[in-house]
Amino acid sequence: MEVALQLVLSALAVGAIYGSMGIGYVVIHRMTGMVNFAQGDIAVAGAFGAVVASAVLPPLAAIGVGALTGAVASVLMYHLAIFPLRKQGLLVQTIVTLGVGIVIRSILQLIFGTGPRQFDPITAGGPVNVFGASLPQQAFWVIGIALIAYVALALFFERTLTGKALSACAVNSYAAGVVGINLTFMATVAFALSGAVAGAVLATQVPTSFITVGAGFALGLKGFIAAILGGFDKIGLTLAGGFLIALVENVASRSISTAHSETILFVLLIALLILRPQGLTRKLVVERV
Amino acid sequence: MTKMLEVSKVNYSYGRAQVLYDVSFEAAEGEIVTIIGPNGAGKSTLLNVVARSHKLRRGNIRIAERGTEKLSQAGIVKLGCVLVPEGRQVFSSLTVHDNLVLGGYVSRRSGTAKATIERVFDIFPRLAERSNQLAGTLSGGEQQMLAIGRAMLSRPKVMLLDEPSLGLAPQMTARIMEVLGELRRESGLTIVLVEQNAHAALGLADRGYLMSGGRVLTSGTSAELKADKMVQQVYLGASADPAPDANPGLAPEQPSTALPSEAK
Amino acid sequence: MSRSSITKNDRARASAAHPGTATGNGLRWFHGAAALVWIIVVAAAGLGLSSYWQGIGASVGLMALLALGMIPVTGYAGQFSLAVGAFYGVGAYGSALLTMNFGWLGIAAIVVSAGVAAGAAYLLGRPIFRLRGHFLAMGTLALSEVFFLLVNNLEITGGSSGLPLMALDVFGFELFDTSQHLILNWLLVGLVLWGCLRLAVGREGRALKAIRGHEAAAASAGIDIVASKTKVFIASAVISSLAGSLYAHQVMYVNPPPFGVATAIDVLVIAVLGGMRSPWGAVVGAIVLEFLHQSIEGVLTQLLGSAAVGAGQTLVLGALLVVILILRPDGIVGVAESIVQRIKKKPATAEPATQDEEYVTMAQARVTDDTVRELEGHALGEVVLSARGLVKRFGGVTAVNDISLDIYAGEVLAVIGPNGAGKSTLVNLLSGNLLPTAGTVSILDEQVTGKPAHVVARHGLSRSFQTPCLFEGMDVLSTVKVGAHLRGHIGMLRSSVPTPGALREERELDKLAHEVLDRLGLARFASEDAKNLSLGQQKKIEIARALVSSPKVLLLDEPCAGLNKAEKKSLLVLLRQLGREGIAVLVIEHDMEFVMACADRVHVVNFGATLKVGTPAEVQGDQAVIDAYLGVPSDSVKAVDEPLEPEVIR
Repeated sequence: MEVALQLVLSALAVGAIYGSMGIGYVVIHRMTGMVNFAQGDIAVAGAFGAVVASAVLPPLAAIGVGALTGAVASVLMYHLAIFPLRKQGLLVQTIVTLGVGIVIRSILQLIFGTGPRQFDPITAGGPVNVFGASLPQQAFWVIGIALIAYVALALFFERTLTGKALSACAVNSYAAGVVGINLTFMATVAFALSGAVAGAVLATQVPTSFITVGAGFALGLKGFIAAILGGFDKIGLTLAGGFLIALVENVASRSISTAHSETILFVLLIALLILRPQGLTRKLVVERV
Repeated sequence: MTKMLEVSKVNYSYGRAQVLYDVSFEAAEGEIVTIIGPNGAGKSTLLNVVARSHKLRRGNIRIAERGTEKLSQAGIVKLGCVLVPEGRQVFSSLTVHDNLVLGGYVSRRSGTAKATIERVFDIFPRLAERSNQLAGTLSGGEQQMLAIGRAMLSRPKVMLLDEPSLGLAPQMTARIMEVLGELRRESGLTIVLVEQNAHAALGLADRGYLMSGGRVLTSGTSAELKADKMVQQVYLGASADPAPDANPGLAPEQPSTALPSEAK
Repeated sequence: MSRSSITKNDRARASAAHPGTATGNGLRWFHGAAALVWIIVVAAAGLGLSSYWQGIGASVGLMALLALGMIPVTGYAGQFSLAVGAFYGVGAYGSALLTMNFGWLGIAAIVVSAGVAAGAAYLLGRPIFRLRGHFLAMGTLALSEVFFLLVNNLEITGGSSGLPLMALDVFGFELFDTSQHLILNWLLVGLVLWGCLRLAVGREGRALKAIRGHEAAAASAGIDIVASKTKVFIASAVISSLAGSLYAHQVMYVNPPPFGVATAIDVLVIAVLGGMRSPWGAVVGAIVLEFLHQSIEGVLTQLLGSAAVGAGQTLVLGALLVVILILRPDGIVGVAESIVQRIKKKPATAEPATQDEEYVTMAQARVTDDTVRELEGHALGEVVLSARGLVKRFGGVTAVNDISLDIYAGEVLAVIGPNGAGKSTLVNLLSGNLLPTAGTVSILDEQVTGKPAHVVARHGLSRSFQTPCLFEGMDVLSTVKVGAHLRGHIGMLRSSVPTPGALREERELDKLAHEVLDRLGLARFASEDAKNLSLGQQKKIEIARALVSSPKVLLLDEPCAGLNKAEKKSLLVLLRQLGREGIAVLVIEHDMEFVMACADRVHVVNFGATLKVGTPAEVQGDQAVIDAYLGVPSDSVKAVDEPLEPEVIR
């Protein structure tokens, strides 16, 4: 029982990261229909932004800098690499994000090297005991910040005019133009949000484990699974999907082996794409032309 | 009366296919002007150029006596000129209410938006009933009401309507025309109505222009156009009149055009 | 399945090859000479270079081979796959395991590994190609990573320390020397390059490019999209696996790193750098990238020290990918081609003046046709296409509401109605491009309801689209030949290794396409890019593409749009002729003069339902039809406050 609880608790913390990576994919996909292969590396850039800021700022503010770094990296990618290719079709736009991901990763490597980095947790002190299972305090911050990001995004899409305009662009970009919505501005907002959410949550995780420049690749793939589970549409289900993935990973590494847990996840990714591309949602996202 | 919309010598091409040739027309404040003509005449393209969802490459368009060369699509809406596009183009997976709210995107004043939404609901009670329904589940006529309501939210001075009768039963078309008349009476709205349905359009409009093959063939008051035999000829083909090539202004080798944007 | 395929008779006629098609002896000589040059250059490099450069040359050859595996999938068919890393590894580990652990012959191991790669590609491709392109990218990326993790963690593959193996033994002859590797690899590159080039101009290659250009139009030509994509994906897997086996035997050692995602990205950069649209891009890209790698290494070691070389190289790699895509998405070969084209560019063929001396109206043309028919004793044939109770709803809108129609062999049936009446939707329902909400469609008494467009095409239905759906970067002749897809049978393998049969079929398709182009007056545009022509010409190309399959029933969606009067008249004559030949023709059109002169019967649609069916004269005089077009005078209709229940559209 305690073991099960422990598995679930730590899955909550790790799942929050996968989920927020997935939300990053979903926000961009909803707006543009594309898959951003640089998602993982942008989040890592955010985490390193926080590492740098932590030298002069308290941890919470450093995480804010991490969010900002992620947002800036994402927006720069949109304007420098994707916007010039807007007439080229999704295939080329998708390939270019792969290139951007490599660029970000190698720049980080040139600056920070391949070693792990860390900074102080937001609240000091030992792990918290929950019915016999224990979880570091920082993990609660990770879960909390992911939840805050989710609620903020949900409110943004539901309640604000800009949020609704963003959804409107996704539904019918011609009509969005007709009512006077600026598509480039909206895409900028979407990329900024995507980078900020992924960057902030990953940065929060840095004090409990650590961050390396190469982490983006696996994170990106796992976030992608979360996004599939959310049907590339629903951010709530994406977050839940992230938790499911983390749970599978935890159970697999406990009952099979740590070495094979990632393999199992990526096989799951392929199986999902083939068998249930709509994820936890009821129907496949309608193809947009 | 001030000229709310002045379009002069607009040309437009899709790639190598020219679809508008030196088209000019104008509409004064509070006037209802209709542009009629058969499918492929270039009417839709013309409205899309005015609303700037197509680029203005050659020609001149003034709205409310101001030049619009440098304006973006959003700039045109802010200036008070809004398009009700062909085929409704509502945001199908958003609610009716959200569709209306988004119509007021450029003005961003929620206070006046609320009042205008009330006004839309007064005119179209059916929309009020379905306020929380997804727009995609509405019938064609209801979607057309929604598209007009959405356009009202930007508090326009000029409303451009592209084939509002498309696919609607005669009663529904008549209702839409009636509403347009009310809007003009109440708020002095200038209306440019592009229609294939010549009778309905000429019944409402003060003046009209007849387009075919990307050119304006003739213009006049609605009464004049109704009496003009050319209208029927252009619509139902020259075979209505056995004289060969009876369409003046349609040189034999001139392409009549189909517009990608008019594709459903 | 009643579509006529090429008959003996056609063959006899086709053997008099069409002039201007370069499939004769000249081409054979050219291919022979090119192959000879390739062999001489490769042999000279193999024997002349130092052993350091031989080693590099051999590995560049393998990268070129991998890129050649990617180009048909991503460049031709437009599907972004990153599975190269995994399939490369299947070949390498397959060869290592089978030869060392089970003592298999090297050649047998290569074949079996390639078979395993092909099987995996089939299992993955078939379902995933039903999804959008970039999902394939993510799926294949995951596949590469799964493969890497597996070989890195499994005991049988030696984990991270890897497996040793022997040099490749070809029937007692051991390939040990780097010069042999270089020669073998580059000869293979030459072979695959040639195959890819042949594929590009063959039936299946055209199908792939058509899929990239416009899926709906490709399906309407009878191309099974999922099957075609899967086939090319399998071919790519086999090529990658082959490269892997060679790699393993040449390095005589396999460990996980070369088979991860990094290799897939290297290959992608090669293909993008060289140019995706041509297999030459793989060769050029591989050589140029190696050259860049060497120079970066030199510069970076001096600038930042040797520690930075790895990250510096990937930085350049990534930046290169971004910059090339933004500046020249068609890569080095694309640049070269456009330069060649600029030099070769001849003055545009002046359009001959429209020969329309004799002044004949459409109506008069019809009278002439009717006289011919009377003389021939032409009568309407059987019902070719029959639709019953078709309904299509989109959300709350009923676009087509209970329409039934029959099209007879030998008639031209015009479907008219005001804009938005549901005509195009109706055609999409008949052709299988849309699924009906209710109702049935049958062609020659065979049910085709709910079948996909490419299956309906096989029953003898061809169509054109309202806005021309042509394929980017394809000339007019090839575009029309896509329409003849179902009249050929040559598959992917025989397209790329052109057998006499494949060449003969290609000549026959060529001839069919030329005949149709001649008939439509498009012959002089045969080698021009279809997308550069005027709207009217594009519409005619669409008709040509539909006609070349010799359909039983032909659906044309607004064929007159963009045509001038003379062209409309010749189209009218053509459609009447097709009718006399026994084809059932359905045409949607707005030009009433054309409709009245062209049609045998007119089917008027309004609000998604049938308003009237009759002869042109009957329809023209019908008050309801006039009202539908011109609208009812508003004083005769009482406006209602509320829309009608339950549907506005009745």
